[in-house]
Amino acid sequence: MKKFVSIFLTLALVLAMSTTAFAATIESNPDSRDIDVNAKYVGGVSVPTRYSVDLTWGAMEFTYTVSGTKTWDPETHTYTTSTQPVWTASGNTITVTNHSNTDITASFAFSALTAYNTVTGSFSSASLTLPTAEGKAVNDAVLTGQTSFTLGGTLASDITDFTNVGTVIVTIS
Amino acid sequence: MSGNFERKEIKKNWLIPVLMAGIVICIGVTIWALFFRQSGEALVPDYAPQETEQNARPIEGDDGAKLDAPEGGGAISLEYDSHVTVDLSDGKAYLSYANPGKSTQDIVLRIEIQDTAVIQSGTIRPGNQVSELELLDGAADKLQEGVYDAVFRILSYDPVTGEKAMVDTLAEITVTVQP
Repeated sequence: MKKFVSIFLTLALVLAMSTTAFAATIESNPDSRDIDVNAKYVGGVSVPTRYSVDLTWGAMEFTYTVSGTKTWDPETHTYTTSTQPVWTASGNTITVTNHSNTDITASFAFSALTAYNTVTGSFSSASLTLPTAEGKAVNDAVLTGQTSFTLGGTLASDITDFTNVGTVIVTIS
Repeated sequence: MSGNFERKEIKKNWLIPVLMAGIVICIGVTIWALFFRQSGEALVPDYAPQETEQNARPIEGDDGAKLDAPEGGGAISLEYDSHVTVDLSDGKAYLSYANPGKSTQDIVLRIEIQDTAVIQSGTIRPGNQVSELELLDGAADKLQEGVYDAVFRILSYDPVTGEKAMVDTLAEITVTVQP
């Protein structure tokens, strides 16, 4: 038994021994030729423009208030009117965010319905130019712009409920 | 007696050509109405169409997380390719337009060339996209082979009341018409 174990251990030690080996010397072959292998990169990945734009807007409710005084003139039996009309707005902000892989311009316009053509509209910024979202974080502030919309002109006194008087048009280019 | 007979004959001779002319006019009007009458401009609906656009398909992987819309207002997200191809042979437009799930509004997509609508979709709900749409009736007759500057007109509608929003969005595109 001891002999068997000794032989086994000896074999194990012999097999585990490392042996230094040397590579053969490369001798040049007079018939061989070196051939250079050349490579280059050609970009073949097309990058189509993909537009992705978020647009939010508020309630777009506007109130036309006419305040002032009407003074009775007994000489002419008529009123002398001194009034100051004012438009006030609620939810009149429009926000545009660009997630496209190209710059965009958002332009704003107002189109009044024919029945309310005495109403006009204006924007704090008539257009917003937003840079490409390439290389920018999703919530990068430079990708977002805002404009405020204001109504002007006059509104007939019989419009006492909120009524659709026109449409804001946002053009993306 | 013979004079009276002659008057009746003259009346008969006059009546037949008039009736023939009337019949020819009626046939002409019918042919024009059936084959040559231009269909009218598609109007912008004040309420969203009841029918969902039949070519709309769900956007894979869209989690439907909504944009923060101000109270009483709305929010839409638009994703699109600015190149559209119209194939006159099958009367369809091939495009890429999505109304992502983060929109709070249903939309109707129109394609307008020179202020004339050539395509108007049914309702496209948030989380859906379209890759093809049918041309409006008569639109193919107005188009010729070539490239047109055009716009997407995106009409937004409240998904509960169906009322149209105060904000319309236009996106500049090019339309290539193929025979």
